[in-house]
Amino acid sequence: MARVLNQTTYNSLLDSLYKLPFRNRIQSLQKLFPELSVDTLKCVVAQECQKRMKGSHGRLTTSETVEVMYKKFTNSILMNEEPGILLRLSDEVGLTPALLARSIIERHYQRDDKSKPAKLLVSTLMKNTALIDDRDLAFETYLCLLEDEEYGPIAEATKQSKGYEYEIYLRMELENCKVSFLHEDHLRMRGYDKTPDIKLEIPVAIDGQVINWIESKALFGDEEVHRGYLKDQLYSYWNRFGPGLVIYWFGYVEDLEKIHQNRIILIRDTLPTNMVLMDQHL
Amino acid sequence: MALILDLVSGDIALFHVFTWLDIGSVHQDLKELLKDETENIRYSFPQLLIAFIKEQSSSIVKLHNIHPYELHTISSPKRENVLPTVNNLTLSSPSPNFKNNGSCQETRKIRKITPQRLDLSSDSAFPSLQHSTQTREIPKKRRINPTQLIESPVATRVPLQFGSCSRPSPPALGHNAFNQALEQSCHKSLDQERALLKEKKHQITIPTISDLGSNTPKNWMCVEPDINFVTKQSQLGRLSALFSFCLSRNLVPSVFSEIQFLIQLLVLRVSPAKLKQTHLAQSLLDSVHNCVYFSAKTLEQVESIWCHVDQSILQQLRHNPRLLLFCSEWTNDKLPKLISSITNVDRISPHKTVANVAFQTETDNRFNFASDSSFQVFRKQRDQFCEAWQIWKVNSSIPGWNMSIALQKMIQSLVDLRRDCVNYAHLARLFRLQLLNVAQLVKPVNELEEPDGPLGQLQSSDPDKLRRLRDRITNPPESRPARCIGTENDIKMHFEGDQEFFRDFILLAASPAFNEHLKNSLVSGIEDLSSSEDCDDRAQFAETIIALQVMAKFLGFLHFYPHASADHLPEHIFHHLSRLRISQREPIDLVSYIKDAFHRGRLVLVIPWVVTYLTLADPVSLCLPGFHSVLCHLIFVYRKAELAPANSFLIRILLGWLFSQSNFPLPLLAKPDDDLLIEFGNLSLATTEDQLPRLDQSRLVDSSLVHQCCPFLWSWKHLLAEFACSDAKSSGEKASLSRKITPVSAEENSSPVKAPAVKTLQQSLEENFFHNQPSSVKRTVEFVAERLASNVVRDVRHQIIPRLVLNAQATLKTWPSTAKDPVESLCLQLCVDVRNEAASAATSAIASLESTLTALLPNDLLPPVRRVCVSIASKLTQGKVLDWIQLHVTKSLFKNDLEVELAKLDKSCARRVTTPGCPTASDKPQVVHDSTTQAPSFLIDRLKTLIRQVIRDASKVTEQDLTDLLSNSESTLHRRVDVTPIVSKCLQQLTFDLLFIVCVFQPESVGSQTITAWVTFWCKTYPSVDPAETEEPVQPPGALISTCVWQVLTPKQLLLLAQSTSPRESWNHVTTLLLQLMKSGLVRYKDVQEQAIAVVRQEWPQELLGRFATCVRDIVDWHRNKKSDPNLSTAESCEDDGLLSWLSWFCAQDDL
Repeated sequence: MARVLNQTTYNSLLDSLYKLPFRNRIQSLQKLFPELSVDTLKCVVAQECQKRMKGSHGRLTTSETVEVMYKKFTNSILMNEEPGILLRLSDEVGLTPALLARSIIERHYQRDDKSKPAKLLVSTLMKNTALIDDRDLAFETYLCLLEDEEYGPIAEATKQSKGYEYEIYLRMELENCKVSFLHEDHLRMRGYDKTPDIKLEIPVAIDGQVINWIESKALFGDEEVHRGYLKDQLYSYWNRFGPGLVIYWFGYVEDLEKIHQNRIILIRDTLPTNMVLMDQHL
Repeated sequence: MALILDLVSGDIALFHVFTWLDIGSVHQDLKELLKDETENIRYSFPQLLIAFIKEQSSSIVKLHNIHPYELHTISSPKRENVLPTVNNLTLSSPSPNFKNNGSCQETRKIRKITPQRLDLSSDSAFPSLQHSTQTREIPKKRRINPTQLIESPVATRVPLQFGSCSRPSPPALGHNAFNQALEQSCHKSLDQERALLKEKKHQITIPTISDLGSNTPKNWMCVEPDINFVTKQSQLGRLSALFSFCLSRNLVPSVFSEIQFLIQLLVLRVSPAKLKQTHLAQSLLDSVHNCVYFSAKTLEQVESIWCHVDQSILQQLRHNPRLLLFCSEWTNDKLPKLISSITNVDRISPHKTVANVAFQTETDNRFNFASDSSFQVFRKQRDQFCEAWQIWKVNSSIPGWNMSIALQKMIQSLVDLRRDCVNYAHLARLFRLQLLNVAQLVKPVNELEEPDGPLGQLQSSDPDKLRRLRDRITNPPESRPARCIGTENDIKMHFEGDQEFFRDFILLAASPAFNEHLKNSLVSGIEDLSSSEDCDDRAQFAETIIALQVMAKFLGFLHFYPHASADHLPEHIFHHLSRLRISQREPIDLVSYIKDAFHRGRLVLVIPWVVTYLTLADPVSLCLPGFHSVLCHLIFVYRKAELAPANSFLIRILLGWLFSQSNFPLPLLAKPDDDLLIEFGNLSLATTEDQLPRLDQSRLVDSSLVHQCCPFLWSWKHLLAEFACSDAKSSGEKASLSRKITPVSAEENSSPVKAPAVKTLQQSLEENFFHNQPSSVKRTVEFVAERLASNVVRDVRHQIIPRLVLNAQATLKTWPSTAKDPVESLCLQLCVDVRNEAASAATSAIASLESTLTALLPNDLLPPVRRVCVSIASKLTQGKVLDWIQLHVTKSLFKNDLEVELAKLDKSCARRVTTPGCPTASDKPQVVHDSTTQAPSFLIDRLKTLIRQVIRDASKVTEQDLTDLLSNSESTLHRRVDVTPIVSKCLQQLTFDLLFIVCVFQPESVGSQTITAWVTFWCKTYPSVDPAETEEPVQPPGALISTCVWQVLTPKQLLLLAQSTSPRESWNHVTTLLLQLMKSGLVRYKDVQEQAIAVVRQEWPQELLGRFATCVRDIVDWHRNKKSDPNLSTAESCEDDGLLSWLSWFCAQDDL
């Protein structure tokens, strides 16, 4: 199943994505792009959703709009509507369920001067909805969290876990290949200011290019994502350690390497098997 | 002048003159000639000689550079003609030669004189001596079409630019290749020659216009030298012998300039038409024939110079038609031999592209910064600096790109991001290292162009044009930062290629603090490298020399830039400025470097960078008293230093270059040795105390290094190439320049001498011990001790300290709260502990010394000697470790860590007293990763989906499903290393949610064993989850009662229970679950109280409340039983249970 997309495929994937309703997009896309890996599709959908939220979250969560949504919610409770009130509201306003639930909780727990409650309180309530004093809000929030793949404590934990799982997987693979390396924790302990996931203590060559470090990313590398990482991480590694490799485990758009110009940072979707190790014969 | 004329024409044996010049002893014959002034004249004699030669040749040289094809300018509309550039000894002002007085009329007609081109900085402009020779004859049929330029067969290349230390060159001279293609038929016969000469003597100037008109366009003329026409051969021979003696003995101030001058004479081109118009004073060098003869003879005799220059220059000499004619033996026999003996080694591997500064933990990690914020800020500064460099690299060649617009903001903000000495120092260091990296990648200028492409061809045919083209591309006028130093005339501040970035960075940053730190960094970098021992092979040595030169250049730039001026300073201003700066201190003590290098035989390493530094000096500086001494030392070195031939050539060419700078105070050069010697101080008392290898006699310098250090040398080739080029047009000759590269192994050269000092007896013993052993013994012992100590320190830093700090942090938790200032006393304790552990680490490291040293020391050492080495090494190691500990292991090292921990504790202590021993991620026993277990993300997903399906779709979950999930969760959480705390917490919540929901919605799928099994699992996996210990800080009162995961009787859970289709069973299971949780200590009686109170705050259906009451009663009953059972008695059993009993009673009332 393909994980590396050329620009054309990627564009048409995005086009179809924009046209689909928010829910169950992955199943629909699977039918449209049967050759693509499901994980890649999930990732692209998730990243599209995050992009959308980044753009509209502020607009959709002003105190006025939240007030309106909260009114609607309390009204629906009074009217004894079917459970799933917040889910339906989420579809209506375009906020993902978890983000909507969070806004409603913030409104519900607002302080006497109408300011927002402490962030920590809200996130504790999101993590354990049983702690919410209003039973309906608690249950509705819980339903939202179960539905949301991108936001909320469960989705966050899944994402974090995936990232770390692949990091560990990469370490295991490298150990299997007898590559010696330091990982992030080692580097931090030694006081490095920038810490790639893997710093190769003995460089290896991939496809004729020597690399000195590897960064693992459990997501799909589109241009925006990649530029972000270049700026915050990858160029910093290049500045310190020279050429390296970034692995987007869920695929990437072809030709992103062109962005780097003369700074060599390879992009792959898996750890290449054709690594050339340094000769260590005496 | 008369003196020299007498010498040349007289019959005093030249041998006597040589002796006099050499050692000052005067022969009787000479005495008469010199009268009483022998000693005075001796040092100025070479300069007199040069002046004499210049004077003698001046009138003919004035005529030089007339394009032989001048008559055809009409056919070459793009003609941009060239001014003659004759090297003038003083170089201080444009020499009168620049003005082509000889034929102003002609000049007006045929030349666009380009007065003082702006870009003096590039030496490629330098030699455009368009000495298009002699009356020379080219057959008509040899006409060459100007458009065939590209196919020019000449393979020789001329430099684009002359590198860093450009000399003030005469105006850059346009040289139009098209011109050369023109042809001329020439009348060359004896009669004609004579007629011409006669005409000239009669000074009947035929108006050029008529010349123009009368000539057929096919003719071009210049006087072709002919050995038969050479007059006064013996005098010329004597003159040449004198001159070449002065040259090879380095008696002339600048060998470079003089050779340049000789080459100019060699390629002199004078049109007969000019000769006709001009009256030539009777002199030794009054004809092209004489000039070429003199030049050829002299060039031939200075063989000692030719063995150090690039092969391509020799090739040019070898194929020069005039040399072939005048000294055929040399060109045909000796030169080819010389050429084959010279090897050019390209030291820079073509693959060397690593241009970034590697992060080194020793110098760059947190330990090297005073605070976290300083460290974090520098991280940003580092990245921004690299970013700026990248942006420059990508864009600097784009026309119209303006560095100050694009980067000024960024550079200024990054440099002053944190006004702190530590950050400035680190940034300066980064700057220096990046600069050095880049400098090492620069190839000798001449090697830059590929010879075969059209550009390569253009380079050989019209280097100036190529340079201008290239300038236009890479350096459009508007692309230079507006604030660039001075004007472009200010050649001294010329930086080329990538170095421009660094220069402009300094200018754009405009940060005095940064400049100061950069100066310090450069000075210390120079200091380090100057005393470098790593000069074992040529590549390493060349790298060191180039690095030193680059650092000196930037140091000079930083120091002299404020004093630069594009204007010529009027004398009164000059004096005013020099008075102001009379006591100015130099950033670096050049005199001591020179003295030191002289005594230690390391001049070859030091002189190049000293010269580079001084070439950047402004005119005022060189006249300051501080510099006087420096210059005297340099002159002394120039005269007296004894080095291996190539080394000597390198430093003398460089010094000569410096002496020929326009700023240089010439009178110094005429000072007698004795005067200079006073400046050198106690020369005779020189002692060599250290063991630095003496380099001056080593064979580390090759011609490629010479050219890299002295890029101006390419102008010799440039001159010859231009001549050959116009010549080749006609002859079709091709200079072949294939090169063989033969690696040369370096010679070892070290003669360490050890001087005893007044020290303790033991120290003296040790010193003597090493003195009598091979020098490698001491080096090895010191090296091993150094490395071993470094490893121990590393161990202390990365293992011992973190471990002890962790322990201390744990101790902090149990520290009696009454104790005063726990951090202070713990820090003290930590210092002691770290010292002890470090000492024992050192001891155990020393144990390995014996075997290490045995392997490394010469194996014929006597065992006792080896034992002494081991003991010295272990003493050294311990000393170094101790030093480090004294310096770094202080209370402040631990303070921060402990205070942070204390603050954390204070937060949680504010709520309840905690018990130690909470397992954290780091405490977990080492787990062997089992990748066959389910990934945590997969498990989360599965749990989430199940819960959703049960609530929403009422999907069936079997008891087996639950059992499977339990075992999967268990293995995931216990047998994987990729479970983060957040994920673990999430799994805790989800598993509990799932069990609760299945209990509520599908009670038939759950047995009491299942519940017990899950509770046991949670107990084992999350033992710490006592609500008292959750890490959430205190909430605003009333906001939250408890943050514990195990919430059974909260409003949400009751809402779920209310939806149950078989409430009885559901409530039974839930009650069992709660009881199990309480039995296992996960939920306390008090928590249930809190939960229950929250429930009754809301309204509920009576039926639900009834079941709730039953559940609560069960809890109360269980609690009572437990209280009465002494075995189960716990600390909390004494808590009041009246509240819950009452609640249970209250809820059970039907009339609520």
